[in-house]
Amino acid sequence: MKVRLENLTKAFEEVIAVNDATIEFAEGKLTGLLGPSGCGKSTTLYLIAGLFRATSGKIFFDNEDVTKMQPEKRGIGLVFQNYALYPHMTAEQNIMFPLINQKVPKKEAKIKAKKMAELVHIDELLKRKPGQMSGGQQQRVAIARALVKEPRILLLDEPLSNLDARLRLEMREEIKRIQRETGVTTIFVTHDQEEAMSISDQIVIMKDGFLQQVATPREMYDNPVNEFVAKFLGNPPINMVHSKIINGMIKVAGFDIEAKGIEDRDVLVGIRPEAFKLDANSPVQLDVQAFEYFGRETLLFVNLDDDLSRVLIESDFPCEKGDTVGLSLRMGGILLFDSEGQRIYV
Amino acid sequence: MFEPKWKTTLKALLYLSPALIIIATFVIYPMFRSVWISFFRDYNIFKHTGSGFGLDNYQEVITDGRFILALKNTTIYTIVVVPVSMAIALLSAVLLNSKMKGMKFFETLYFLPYITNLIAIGLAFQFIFNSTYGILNKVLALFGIDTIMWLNDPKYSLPALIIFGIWSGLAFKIVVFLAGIQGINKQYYQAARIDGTSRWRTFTKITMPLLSPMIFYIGIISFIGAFKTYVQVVGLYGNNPGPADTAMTIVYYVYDKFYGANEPPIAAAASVILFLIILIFTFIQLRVSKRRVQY
Repeated sequence: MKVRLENLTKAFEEVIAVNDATIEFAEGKLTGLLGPSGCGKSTTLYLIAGLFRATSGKIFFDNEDVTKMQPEKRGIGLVFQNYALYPHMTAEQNIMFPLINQKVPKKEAKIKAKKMAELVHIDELLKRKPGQMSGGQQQRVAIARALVKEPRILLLDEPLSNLDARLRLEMREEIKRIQRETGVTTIFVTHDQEEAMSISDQIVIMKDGFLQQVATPREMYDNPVNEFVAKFLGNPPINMVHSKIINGMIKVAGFDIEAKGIEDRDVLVGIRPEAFKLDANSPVQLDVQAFEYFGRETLLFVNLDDDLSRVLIESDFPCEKGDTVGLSLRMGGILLFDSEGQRIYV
Repeated sequence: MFEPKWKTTLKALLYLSPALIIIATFVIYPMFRSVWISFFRDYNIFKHTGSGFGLDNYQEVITDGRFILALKNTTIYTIVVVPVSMAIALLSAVLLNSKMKGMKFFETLYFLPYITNLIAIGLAFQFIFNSTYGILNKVLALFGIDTIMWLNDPKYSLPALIIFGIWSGLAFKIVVFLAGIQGINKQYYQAARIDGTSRWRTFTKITMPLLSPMIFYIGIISFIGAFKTYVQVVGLYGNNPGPADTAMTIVYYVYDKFYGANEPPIAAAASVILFLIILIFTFIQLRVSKRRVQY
C-alpha cells in the first residue's frame, strides 16, 4: 500500500505543525520520518493514523482517499512510543486484542498471536504481563499487536527512543528484519539521523512543519537539498565555512575548491569531516586545536575560519594537541550553499 | 534510605503526637471502653461503675426484634445502595470525561452535593418525596403511577431511604472515579481506537480493569459507609426512624438505645456487633480484591 499526502496541513491553536506537505511513501518499504523535535513528524504520523484530523489537504492509501476515514477503518497498525500495552493483560491477550475486536474466533486468534509472537521472537513470554518484561520485549509485543491484524500500513512512533543504547541497535535491526519478512509498508518516526540512515529504504526529512527532502539515505547524505539537511545528517556533523566564489574558485584556509561556471558570490562551504585526507606534502598545514579519540577513528579540531572544524582521520596516525598536520580535500564531501541555505549545484 | 533508629523513631513519634493524642482520646480509648461497657448489665457512664458482667447484653440485642429489623434494613440498604450508586457514579464519570465544553463547570456541579450538609439535603428530599406536592410523585404520575406515600407508608420508607442514600453518596464517588479515569494514559484509548475496539469493550476491557483499584477502594468505603448509615435517616425522617421504625438502621438503633432508652451497655453491645460485621466483610473484600484487582 502506497501512502500519498497531498498538500496536507495540520494547524493547532498556536502552531502549524504540518505545512502543505506533499509526500509519497513507497509501497512495501521502510520509510524513516526524520526531523528535530517539534518538526511535525509525529503529527504527520498521527494524521496518517487518523488520530488527528487534517486541517486541509488529502491523504491517499493507494488511490483511496482516507482523509475523512475513521482510524479503525484505515487498516493500520500503530506502535506507540511508550508501547501502550494494556498493563492488565498478558502479552498473548495484548496481541489477541485487535483480533477479538474483529470477532475472530478465540482459537484462531490464539494461533495467529502465537505466529506473530514467533515472528518477533517473544513466543516464550506470551503468558507474561508487560510489567514483567524488559523495554525491548514490550516493544516486540507492541509490534506483534500492531501486525497481528495484518494492517495495510505499519506506523511506529519513535519506536526506539525508550530503549538503552545497545537494545536500540538490536531493535532497529529487528524492525528492519520484521519489515522485510512481512513486506508491510512501514513508516517510522525518529529524531535520530543515524537510526533513520541505518535501516530506512527511504528518508523523509522535515523541519518546522515543512518537508525538506525525500530520498534514499545515501542520496540524502551525498546530495542534501539544503544546509539544514546537510547539517542534520552525519555524525560528526558537517563543517560549514563562509567564503566567496571568485573566478570559479573558492578559498578556504588555504584550500582551493573549484566552482566552475558559477558567478562570483558569497557561499557557505560544507565540508564533511571525512572529506579531509592526511597529506604531509600538502601546502595546507594546520594546527591541531583539540582531538577526540574514537578507537578506529580520531576526530581532530582545526581552524578553517574563526570556528573549529572537525577532521576525521584514521587512528593509526599519531597525533597530539598542538601538532601540525598536512591536509588535502577529496571532492566528494564538499557541498555549496547560498546565503539562504539552498544548495548550489556545481 | 535510613535505618530506623531509636532517635529517629522518637522524633517521628514527636511529630505524630498531636494526631495520635486526638485519635487516642476520641477513637481508640472510646472503642475499648465501649467493648468493656458492652459486657455489663448495668453501667454508669459517669461514675464508671457497672454490675452484672457477662454476655447478657449480646443475647438481648440479637433477640431484640428492633435490632433484627435494623440489621435487615441495613443489609438491604447496603446491598442495593453500594452497587447501584457505584454503577451510576462510574457511568456519570465516564460521561463527564467525554470531550465537552465547560467540563470544569460540570465537575464542580457534581461535586457540590458532597460539600452540602446531608441534613439540608435530607430536607430537600422531604420535599421531593412529599406525597402531595413532591416532584417525584408528579413525575411518576406522568407514567400513570398512583400517588405513593413515600415517607408515611411503611412499605416505601426503606425504598425512600435507599433512593436518598444512592443520591447522597454519588458526588464523592463520581469525583474519585473521574480522577481515576483521567489518570489513565490516553494512549491506551488511542491504541484501542486504532484496533477498532467498540465503546463497550473499551469500557469493560480497558477502563474498568485499569480503574479496578479505585473501584475496590470506593467499594470498601461505601460498604462501610452504608453499614453505618444514620444521618440519612435523620435527614429524611427527623426524630424517628420512619413510620413504625421501618427505616431503622443499626447505628440509629445504637443511638436510640444510648440516648432514647438510656441503655449504654445495650448500645455498646450493638455497636460491637456492627464493628464485627464490618470487620468480617471488609476482610473478605480485601481478600477478594487481592485476587481480582488488576496489576
